Parts: sequence; C-alpha cells; structure tokens
Amino acid sequence: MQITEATKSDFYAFWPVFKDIVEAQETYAIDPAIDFEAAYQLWCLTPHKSFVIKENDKVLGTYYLKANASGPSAHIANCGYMVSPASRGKGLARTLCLHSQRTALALGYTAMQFNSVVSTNQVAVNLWKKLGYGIIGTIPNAYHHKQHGLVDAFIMHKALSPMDDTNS
Amino acid sequence: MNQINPAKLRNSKWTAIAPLKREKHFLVSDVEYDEENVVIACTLEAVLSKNTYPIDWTELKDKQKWLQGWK
Repeated sequence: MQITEATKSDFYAFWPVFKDIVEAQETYAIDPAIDFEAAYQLWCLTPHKSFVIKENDKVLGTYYLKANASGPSAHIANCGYMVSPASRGKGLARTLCLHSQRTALALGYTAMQFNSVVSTNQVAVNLWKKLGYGIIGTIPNAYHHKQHGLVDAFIMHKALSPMDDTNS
Repeated sequence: MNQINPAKLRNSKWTAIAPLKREKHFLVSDVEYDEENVVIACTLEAVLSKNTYPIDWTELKDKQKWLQGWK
C-alpha cells in the first residue's frame, strides 16, 4: 500500500465511497447533497494537504489535513479520514492517522484536534483513544444522525510529539 | 436521452437516479459484442457492493434512470 497526495482523479475514483458516507449521515457533518466539485474543493483544495491510500492503484481511503484555526491557533491541525467499506477492519484508518500525525509534525503543527467525532461512532472514538486522543469536550445534540436522531459529538485532542510512538 | 457509443461502453461510469440498497454508482464491467459489433450482453457492477447485474445497455440511454459519470 502507498500513501500519496490526492489528485482530482484519485478523488473521483473515491467519490462513490465519499458520497455514500455523507449520504449515510452517520459520521460526517457534510451536506449529504454535496456534489463532486464542492466535495473536491472541501476535501482536497481548501485543506493544507490531502492524501489517498492505494493498493494496486485502487483508492481505499483518504484524509485531509488543515489548520484547525488561524493566527494564534494555527499550530493545531485538524484531519478527517474516510476508508472504503470494503477495506475496513484492516487498520487503514490507523495507518492514515499515523501518517497524518507525522505529516502534521513535519508541517510544523504541534497538536491535532478532531472537532466533531460523532459519539455513536464507537469504532472511531476507540481508535482515537488508542492513539492517545482525549475527549476534551462533549457537544450535546451536535449531530443529526440518520438512524438515531440527535446525538452528542466529541471534541478530541492530542499534543503531537516526535517522541510519541503513536506518531509512528 | 443519454448519448452512448456502444464501442465505449466498457468501464463507463453511471449514477442511478433512484438507487436501491444504497447502490448508486456503477461501472460497466463487461460487454459482449457479436461479429458485427452489436452489443449482445452488458453487465453493470455496483462500485461499493461489487454486485453485478446484467442489463439491456439501451436502458442506460434513459435520463430518467441514469446519469452519465459518477454524480
């Protein structure tokens, strides 16, 4: 498997998965009606960097990395990750997160923050905890889950350090 | 009506207007032609589920059912 910066054709190859994930309305606070160009802008052009993970030229997952805020808070990074349903359970999200932490450090960020981890997404919550992220806040009724209605979302944070073995 | 060149059907991408079972994006995964290059069989594959469906390729011309490309 290889991780490379995302091209527009990479994103188009992944678009059916992206669209399915946002239409499922279970994990991402992205308009389910978003079209390809708007999604490409959101995921690949606006962020600082975006990457895909491929195997045999097939795009299995992606993430973006951007500053969580500007100016005095621009040292905190924010990332979003997606993995195709067929590739889940193989450690790809972990691989992408570790890559993003190394990339963030290389770009000068000193912390990572996830602003809206949907509380019902236990797989993600548990993975981020294993990788050293703490829940620093709970936003009540932050997410309108398609199945469960209004559910809480977590803000998760981690200070990045080159010495941290969960960066590698 | 969607304009389709039958010779370029293979690997063409399609979006279902009214998806069933969350199968929205498709690829033409197989096409068979006779000796006069007339399409005699066409198979659509759902991108996420990998389910395959034989289809009359001319149904893809129907813009009420299919959009060209992955929308």
